[in-house]
Amino acid sequence: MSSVGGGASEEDLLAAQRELEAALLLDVADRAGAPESGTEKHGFENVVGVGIAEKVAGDHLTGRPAVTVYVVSKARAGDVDAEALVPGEVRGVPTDVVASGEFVARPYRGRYRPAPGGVSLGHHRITAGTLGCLVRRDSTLYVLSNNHVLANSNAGATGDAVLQPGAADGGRNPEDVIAHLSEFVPIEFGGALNAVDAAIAETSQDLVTATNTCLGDLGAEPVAPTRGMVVRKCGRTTQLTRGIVTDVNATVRVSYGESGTATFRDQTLVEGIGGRSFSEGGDSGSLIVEESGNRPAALLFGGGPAYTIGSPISAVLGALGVSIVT
Amino acid sequence: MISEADALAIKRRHETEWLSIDGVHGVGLGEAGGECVITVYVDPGRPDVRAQLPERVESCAVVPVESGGFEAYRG
Repeated sequence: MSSVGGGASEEDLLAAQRELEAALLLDVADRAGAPESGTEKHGFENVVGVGIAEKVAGDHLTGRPAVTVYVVSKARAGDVDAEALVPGEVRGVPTDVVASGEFVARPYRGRYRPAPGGVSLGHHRITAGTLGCLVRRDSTLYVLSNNHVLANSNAGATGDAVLQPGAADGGRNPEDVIAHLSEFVPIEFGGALNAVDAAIAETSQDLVTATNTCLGDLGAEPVAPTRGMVVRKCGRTTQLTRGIVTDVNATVRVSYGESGTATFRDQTLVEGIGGRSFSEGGDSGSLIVEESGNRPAALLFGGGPAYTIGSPISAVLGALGVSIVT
Repeated sequence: MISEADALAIKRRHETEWLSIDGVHGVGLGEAGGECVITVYVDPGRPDVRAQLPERVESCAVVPVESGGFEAYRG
């Protein structure tokens, strides 16, 4: 029987971990999910994981393994339901409680074949953005996203590799190539007025699907965004969100970091509903659709603390001479 | 009541001037009670920026909104 760290065998540790895992997570899943859980005192809803890790005392690792309980937030013993209290030791193995916060699934950052709209992708030299949707010109199939996602903010060249997932999500060149850059609408930095941040990359039928990973099937006909329209988008970072269009005539100055600042006219601004942000970094390229009917309305490319910016989809499709594939 | 086209024309006549003000990040269009409202997107907590904007221009109200700056998203 092997021994780990301060005396407990691996078998003892695993048995202790399994016991606490059952008591705090597996056998009480229904109670953790009950609406009343946590309303008076912290209960099972506060426990998000049980593992084995080196015990921490103060700010220091002790070198001794412990059964580690991961919680959304730490609380004093008096503020925790007696049943959900973590004992000091289990089967003679010490325990530890770590405030990990909530664990959140990040499903749209993985590798998808065929790849739907809403998942991570990007030019091989950028971090990651979002695959908006599929478009077609004549018989050629393309993925649609932003210039700064597919063409590295004007720096890309025709034929450059586009990865799914994007490099920041583990995409590698050439293993994860899903498309090759075809065309982009150049972004004019400085005082010139831009209409869209958009690009297309040629792909093939066997690598992609027209379905959006969280929106489902798209409406066939694009719709012009209007003030007050309730919209949704599906993006690599914030996934499915709802918002309301507040402006469809905005002229905005947008920072592209080291590349400079560009001004866009006739842009659509969207405010998140329910106090939640409509988008964040990595959501660039997401298709914004009208909630009722899933009709494409705009192509998301940036934003600020309060608003998300999208280019009207009709301007995007017109500039690139393509139509949406549904 | 002003038409959408007229409101847009008024906005376009003035937006370049306002966008040259440090702390102004955008100019948009809204409406309130059938009246034209030009929205100016500005940095929060900047009374000096607000002071450089008129309350009305032609037949439109000018309303600053504290949006903060805009950026193209990186992953």
